[in-house]
Amino acid sequence: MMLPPYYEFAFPVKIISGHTALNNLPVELRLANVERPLIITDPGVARAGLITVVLDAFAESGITIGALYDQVPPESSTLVVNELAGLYREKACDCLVAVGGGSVIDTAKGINILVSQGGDDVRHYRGAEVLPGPLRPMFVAPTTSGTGSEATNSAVIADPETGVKMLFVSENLIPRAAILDTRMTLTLPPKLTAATGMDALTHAMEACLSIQKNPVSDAFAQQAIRLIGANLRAVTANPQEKNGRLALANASLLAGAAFSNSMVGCVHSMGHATGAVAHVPHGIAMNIFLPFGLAFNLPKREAEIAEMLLPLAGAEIYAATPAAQRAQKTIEEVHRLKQDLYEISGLPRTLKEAGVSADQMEHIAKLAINDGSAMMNPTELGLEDALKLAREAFG
Amino acid sequence: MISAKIYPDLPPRQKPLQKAVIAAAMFVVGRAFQSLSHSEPLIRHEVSGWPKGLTLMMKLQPNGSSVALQKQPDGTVKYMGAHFDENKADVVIYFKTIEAAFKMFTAQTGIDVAYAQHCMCARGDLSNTVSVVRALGITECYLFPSIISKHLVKRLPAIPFWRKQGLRLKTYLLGIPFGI
Repeated sequence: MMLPPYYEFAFPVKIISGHTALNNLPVELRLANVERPLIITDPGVARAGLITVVLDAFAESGITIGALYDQVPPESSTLVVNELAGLYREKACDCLVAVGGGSVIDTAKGINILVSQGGDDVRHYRGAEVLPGPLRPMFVAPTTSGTGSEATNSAVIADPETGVKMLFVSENLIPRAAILDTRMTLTLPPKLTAATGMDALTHAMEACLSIQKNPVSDAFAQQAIRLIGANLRAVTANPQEKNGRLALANASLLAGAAFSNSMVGCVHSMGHATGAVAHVPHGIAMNIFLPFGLAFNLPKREAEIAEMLLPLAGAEIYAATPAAQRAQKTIEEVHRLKQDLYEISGLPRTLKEAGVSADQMEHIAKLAINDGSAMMNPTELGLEDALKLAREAFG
Repeated sequence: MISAKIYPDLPPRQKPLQKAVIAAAMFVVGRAFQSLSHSEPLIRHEVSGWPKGLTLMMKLQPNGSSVALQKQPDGTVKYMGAHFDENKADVVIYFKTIEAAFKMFTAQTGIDVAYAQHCMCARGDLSNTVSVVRALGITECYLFPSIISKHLVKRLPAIPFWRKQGLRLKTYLLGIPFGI
């Protein structure tokens, strides 16, 4: 690949990966010179008993947990962030531990802004690359393998007063450590495993296509694609497969690091819009749109799409495919993966299967062209293009 | 022993020419956008989706020139000058370096590429960013001939030939000098 004329890559996250990696969390707190964490999670994680794993990790550590909050809503909200910043201060906490998926992690990032920078309303800090640092140490134990938020520099937090999803982007938001512990994702059901895995695959693939792509983000993304290509089917079929689970957790983090430094593109634009219009879960929308998004970008990114074939499908398929057909073969392999995941877990392949109605296509297209992800897509996403993508994905 | 006396402070150097070019280009973009927002259908369509009274500002950090644009109740956009109070703007796009701003305002880099290359940062609600970037891209397509503007946008907007030439003439003769 050609070096871009200019690029930046920030990834200060310490990766702690292992079947029982969480046991090292107290040590990491001590290394960061903190000793009173605020732990936040959501009701689903608490119900699944995963928080017990975290609490057990602190046994005999000498560290007192300042507070445990387990009611983070499915969508990060400024109200919750502002209230939890108050709790953090009241309980004299000195660091944050987020245990959960994207919403919990984004909430923790929002709290960290307030408790580090001061103030009572996180809305004052919205924007891109304007947040001064450093922030308080933050540790993340993801319970899904999809969002990659444990490795990203951004948070999306909704303002319930206006309904606007506010974007916060800053390298200071990147957590200090990500703890990838197999136990935290073992209970994910097959369909959710497949959907989150396809979300991570989309992060990795779009990171390779974006106009912000760079050699380092490519390296992270290629490794993520390889891990997903080799493990997603097997883990979806057998959710208790520990090594595969850990591989997917690593893939999610690597893909997160990749897109945090190169951004995503039109697949995310379409997916965000579909989520807003038809309430299709993000991972399912990514699964549906990914091959069509690749095909849309094919004229401008043929070489990059061809390069993805090796990590996605393996050496044998790559070697057996003539160079000129590799980009198209990559797209076929994504379709094949979709089909396999459908057969294993019932993951919807089309918008129709996901419950979207044909008359929602235009609304989806209109929203998609104004989604922030469209800006970094290599091909301009116009209204007609978005409508065509939506119709192709409808099935 | 090293004496501090022989190591004086080094204040930042000045780049007055680049600063002047950027200030002039910001004025041109501001006035051109105001003028086109009255008559250019693609820009009017973009602006129609912006919140009421949205004030957008671009500023060279830390204390450089700036340009502010505000959506008016009639759907047009008003150039608010070069000295607008940034605390009153809804969105402020900051150019991190004078080189970055110079390259963008002299049509050497498109806005999306400038963002991809971390030339800018932004404060405020970014939910209209894509539309703003599209509208600024359309403005550039009027300010520069296609041979230049095709490098500034991913795809040249479909503008009928005579409309483009007519509005380009109006922008240069009336829009930029008089704000019409």
